Amino acid sequence: MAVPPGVSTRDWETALRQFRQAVGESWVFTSDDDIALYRDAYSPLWGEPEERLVSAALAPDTTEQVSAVVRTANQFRIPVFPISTGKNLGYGGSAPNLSGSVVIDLKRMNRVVEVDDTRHFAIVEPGVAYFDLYRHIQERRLNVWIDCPDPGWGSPVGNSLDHGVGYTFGAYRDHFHSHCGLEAVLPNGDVVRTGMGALPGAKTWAEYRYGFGPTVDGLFAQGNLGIVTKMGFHLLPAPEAYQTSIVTVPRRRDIVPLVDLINELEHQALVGMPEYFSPLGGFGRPGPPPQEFVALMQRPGGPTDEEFDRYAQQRNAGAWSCRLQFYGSPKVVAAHLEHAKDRFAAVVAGSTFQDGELLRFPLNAEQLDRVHKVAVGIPNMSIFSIGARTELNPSPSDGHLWFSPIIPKSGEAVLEAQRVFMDAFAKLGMPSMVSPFTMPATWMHRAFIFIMAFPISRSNVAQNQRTRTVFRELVKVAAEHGWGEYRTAPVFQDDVMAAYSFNNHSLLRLHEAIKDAVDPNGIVAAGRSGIWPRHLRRTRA
Amino acid sequence: MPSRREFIQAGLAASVVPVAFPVAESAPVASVPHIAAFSSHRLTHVVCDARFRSSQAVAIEAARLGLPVVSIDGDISDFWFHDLAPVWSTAPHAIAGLTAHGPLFCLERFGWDHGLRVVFRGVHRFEGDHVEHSLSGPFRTIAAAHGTLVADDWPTHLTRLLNSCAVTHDTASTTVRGAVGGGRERDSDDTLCTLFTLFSWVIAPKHADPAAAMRRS
Repeated sequence: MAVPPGVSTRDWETALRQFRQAVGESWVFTSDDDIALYRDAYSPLWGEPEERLVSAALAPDTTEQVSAVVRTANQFRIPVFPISTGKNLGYGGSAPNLSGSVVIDLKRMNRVVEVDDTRHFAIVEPGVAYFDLYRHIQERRLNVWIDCPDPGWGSPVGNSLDHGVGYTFGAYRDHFHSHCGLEAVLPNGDVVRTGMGALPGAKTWAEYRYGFGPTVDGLFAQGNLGIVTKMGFHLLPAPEAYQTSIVTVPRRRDIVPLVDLINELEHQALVGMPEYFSPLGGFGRPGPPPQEFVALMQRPGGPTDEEFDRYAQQRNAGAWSCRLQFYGSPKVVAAHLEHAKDRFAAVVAGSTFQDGELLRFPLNAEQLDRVHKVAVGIPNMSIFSIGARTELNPSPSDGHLWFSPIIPKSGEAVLEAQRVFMDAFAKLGMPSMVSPFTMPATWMHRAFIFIMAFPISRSNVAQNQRTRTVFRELVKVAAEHGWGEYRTAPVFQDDVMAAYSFNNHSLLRLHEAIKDAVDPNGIVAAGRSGIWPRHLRRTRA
Repeated sequence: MPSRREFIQAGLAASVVPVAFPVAESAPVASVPHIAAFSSHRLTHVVCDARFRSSQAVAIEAARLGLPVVSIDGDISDFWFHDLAPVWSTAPHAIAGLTAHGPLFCLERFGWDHGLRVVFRGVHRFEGDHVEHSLSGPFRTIAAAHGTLVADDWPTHLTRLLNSCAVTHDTASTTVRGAVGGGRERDSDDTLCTLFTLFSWVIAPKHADPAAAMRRS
């Protein structure tokens, strides 16, 4: 049986007895078979000595049980690592930063505390999955939408606390931004509620997030000051209709006014999440790139904008496109779409629109089959139906790792990021994961995420080692250009936090000071976001 | 979420002896008359991926055996949300299937949340005109598989194996090389597919009691 680091066998056995008394014997997991379930399925360290593994797991059912568990952990200085539904694939899964930690699995805390569809909010426990909240809303025919990421098995609480994101409208898809108040168990076992939750009897917990005094909620997101046991969320009132329209601009440099105009539309709340792409493709499309494109890329000094434009004209395709998404009543949708067309006609010569069908809710079965479900707040697992072994993909990866730097929301920034990362891959001597047509993700409504997926193998250690080296190098390259990751797996969290180095890493020093005050024994999520407790700060490399 | 104690019964066979059978390219089809005498997991669903002819063949045999068949196109969302989640939230029962990797990956992890595990796993690698079947699972089921998957009607025999997956805790593994079955696979453009992998599986309560299963069957 594994023993957590720094804990004597005797103390561990005593702690296990106390854990069992707190949560029930059935809910303390120490067998190899059980704790193996908490391995990160997409770990870039799979099978290596440095892979982050747990010593045990336990599954409390109530805030009181969490508090009891934490008090025991504090008594014996046992490192704990809370997870909600444990599905943070690509960013560490359910594995801790510190090997040997005890996972506090909050899946049993799966109550939907409240959903109000006239004030548009929900309060949920961490074990509630997006599927669960969606079912709760559907069964009661409530007039609100959730905003969910691609796999619907994640937790609104867990996802938001890792700054996770979704697909619908405005700030709703920045999940931490749309939270409102939380309850957390502190490392000493004390229970705190933030915002209006701190005022007994307040009915505005999930409406007004500030309460009074300094707002501390952010310290729990990507933080390690406590275990969140409830959260409020603002929800989008269910719109009557939805329509998409794809705007295409002809020239490479049109990316600048394209993004500027769409920023204007989005920040005025006239469109939902814009989805940028290039009709000229690039990576990710089946088959090798066209010979003509390969020749273009191999020109000394690279292709000019004019050559790109000629290439696009010859293919009878534009240079850039964006799928705009409109929500609201049919009249509002029509008005916003007309306004978008007017703006583009005035600014970008040659821009064209291709309207999709106006969909009125509820959708019929055929429409449900066609629509991009997360764009209309429907959780699903369709993302896992891709990536199978085929002739075009004879050696599919066993998982992926997201490299996700934040860049400014401008066309100039996109072109710069393409150039910088293509150069970086060339210097690293590996095929580029970025092309002149790569566009950023737009999940965050006030910034771009220039995201790349690195393959992970469960059998090729050398490949994973190389991936980690490249990843760390790209973190540095990004930082040199003022781009930092918004989220990353535990193995890279020290590297990413080191990039946020203003004033001799004053941000990290502040985090450490708060950590030392609130969690002097350093038991909760040691190392999360590069914030280590004092006793481990001395020993880490 | 059901209590784990509901799955822990007295009298579990505790020994786990992994046994590997040799690779067999051809062997007489083995009849296993004693299968019926052993307890097996009762399947509430057999999941078939309609994109693959081999999986369609499994669906046909499963229906013939009277098993509820679920057809997906690689996406388990509707099956999970409308059918399986409500069932597993109160009474997790065994399911089986022949699918691509994605559905198995998802269902296995959903199963973990409800006290279930993959108790039989088959990896079927199609390469040209042959397929290599790598199986692991209960000793009796693996023994029954020996020699049955070499012909091109292997999906039919596989279905019977899944339906009779033994409720035991001993494990074995084997690798069998056989002919491509169920008709040659083609993609949506009707292009012949010669290189892909399918996965067969049984997901069942991890602490199922063989004696209790025998009494139910």
